[in-house]
Amino acid sequence: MKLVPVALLYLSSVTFLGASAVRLDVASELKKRWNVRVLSRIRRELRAPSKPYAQEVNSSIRSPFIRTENMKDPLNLQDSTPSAHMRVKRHRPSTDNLVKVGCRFGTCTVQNLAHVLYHYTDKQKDNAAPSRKMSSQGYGRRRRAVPDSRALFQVIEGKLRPLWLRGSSSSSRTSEKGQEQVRRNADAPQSSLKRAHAQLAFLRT
Amino acid sequence: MENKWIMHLLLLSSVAKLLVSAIPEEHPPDLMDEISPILGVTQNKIMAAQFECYQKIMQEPVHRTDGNYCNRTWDGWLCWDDVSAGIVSIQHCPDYFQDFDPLEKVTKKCESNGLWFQHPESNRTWTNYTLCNLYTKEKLKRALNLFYLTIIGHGLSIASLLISLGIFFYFKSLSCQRITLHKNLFFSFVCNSIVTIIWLTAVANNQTLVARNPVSCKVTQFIHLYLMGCNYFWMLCEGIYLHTLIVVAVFAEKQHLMWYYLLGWGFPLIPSCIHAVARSLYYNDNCWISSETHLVYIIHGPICAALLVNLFFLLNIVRVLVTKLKVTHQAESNLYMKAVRATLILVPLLGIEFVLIPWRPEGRIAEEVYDYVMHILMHFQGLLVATIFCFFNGEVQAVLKRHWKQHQIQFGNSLIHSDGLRSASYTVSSITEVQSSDCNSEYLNGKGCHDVEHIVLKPEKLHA
Repeated sequence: MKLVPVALLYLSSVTFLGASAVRLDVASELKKRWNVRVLSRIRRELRAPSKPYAQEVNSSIRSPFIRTENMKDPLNLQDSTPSAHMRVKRHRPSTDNLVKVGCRFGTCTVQNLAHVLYHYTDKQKDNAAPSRKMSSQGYGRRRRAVPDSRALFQVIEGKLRPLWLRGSSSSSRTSEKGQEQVRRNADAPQSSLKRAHAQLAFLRT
Repeated sequence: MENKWIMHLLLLSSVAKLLVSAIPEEHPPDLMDEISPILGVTQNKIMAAQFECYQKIMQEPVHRTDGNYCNRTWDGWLCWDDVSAGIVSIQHCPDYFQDFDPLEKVTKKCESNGLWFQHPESNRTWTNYTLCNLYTKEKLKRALNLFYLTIIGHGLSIASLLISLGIFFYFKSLSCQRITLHKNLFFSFVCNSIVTIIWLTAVANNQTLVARNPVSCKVTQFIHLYLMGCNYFWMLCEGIYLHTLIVVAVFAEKQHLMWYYLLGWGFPLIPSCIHAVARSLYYNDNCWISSETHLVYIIHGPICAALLVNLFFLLNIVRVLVTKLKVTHQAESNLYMKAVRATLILVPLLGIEFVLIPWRPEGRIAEEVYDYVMHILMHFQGLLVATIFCFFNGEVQAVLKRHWKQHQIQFGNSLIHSDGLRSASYTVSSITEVQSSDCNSEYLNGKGCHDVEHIVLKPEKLHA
């Protein structure tokens, strides 16, 4: 009689391990399929805006000046950058109707607490929202006139990567460099390195 | 000789070529490393949101309804859809900054003329983000308070539960089916507490670990959810056992514990596995730490169902209790006192407190009160259960007292003649074991301070 619980314990542990192993297999298989589906969908979605984007890049190579209004942020953040540990969760803007998310059961308190703790102690984020942008002069405006920092866009393998440059001295220094780069690349757009620096007066969000 | 030189030259050129080709490969990472501290997580998030917003603005079909409407726009932090005139658009706050609370709301009003609200001070189009960081400091303080409360509660629970388990395992005379169920419940409490403490201290407070997102932290979350499920399902087991004993089969023989083991340790695997698979497919965030997804209901749905079943059991048990007590013609006040007492004793055992206030209420003060009450109930539940069902248990107290006396006698006499009484004390303990091996033994329950246990153990007496 005493054997029964022990046997059950073993059985449950074995099923647990087996289930987790199976789960991994199934998960990876399903994940593959899912990835294929998602990729195809993204491809379909991106087909339309990809053309203007390409033209834009070409134009940016041709001329050092780009109107900021035309910039559509062709960033590829999912790309494996060297700073890959800074994973950014894609923020899907919800529609105007308020979606209630989060677990509101009484048993969820621990999970909610862990989530809240994680959020409030995220030292990687800026620790406080700039009060200037919360005030009446702040967000909600279409465009601001004067940019306070510049972005250096670098085309690597056909993908644009933004490099933010803060502060006036460094930005002016690098802006010269950047424009020089752009000129050079405009002269030789088909260079084997396929690198193009585009200095863009871009609004810092 | 010439050939040798040519060979050298070729080698050198190939090396040079390697170097040349290596330079452009190495250059961009250096640059990125240099810049990446400037381009922080916040900036990254904002730019990702902006990119998606522009994609959305370009791709979504034109607004169809008649009348004035405000155009879709990117306001610098959030994306806003087309909104009919006169409507206030509401979204959750973004999580760009530490002091932004994603549970608070951002509002942007569309005026009746079809233009977005402009701030009267600046005449600029303006979105109201002020709620996002208004209460954050208090909330952080509250979260930390709750965190310390959790650690203290689980620490105390672990200590008391381990002592109880020690008592249950050391005194073999106590062992019976009910105690076996208690042992399992206590063990699941201990496991759950340990994993919860690990999860909160080592994962939720460790940003670098979550950012690295190793498989081990997802496994920890899986184990955490599994053990949490086990804990609640062992409460269900206790409920089923009591219900079967009192309501279904009063004179039943020993129940088969196998099904209880299967339900308590086996069944929670199903929801946690489903959750893990669903999470890895549909909401694969770092360490699965987010609770902002409906997938967590895969875990908490079955748990709440189990607790509801337990509530039904509790009500039924109390009903039977009252009717049985009425049969014995006891005084009315005494009867209700006993019923209330039994209910109060059973509530923490069966986890009923979580279904009494099933939903987190809305409103700031109500939420705060609810949070504190729930945290105290949840984290000190182990301590409460150990106290009621072990330390205050009449049988346990009797056994402990007996053992203490025995020990005193033994110790007092050992100074004089240590060997003399060893056989005698052995006889005493063996007699005790024989006497109390039956769970329903008379004299142990006479001292029982719990009417529930009393009734559970001696149901036939009520009919007499």
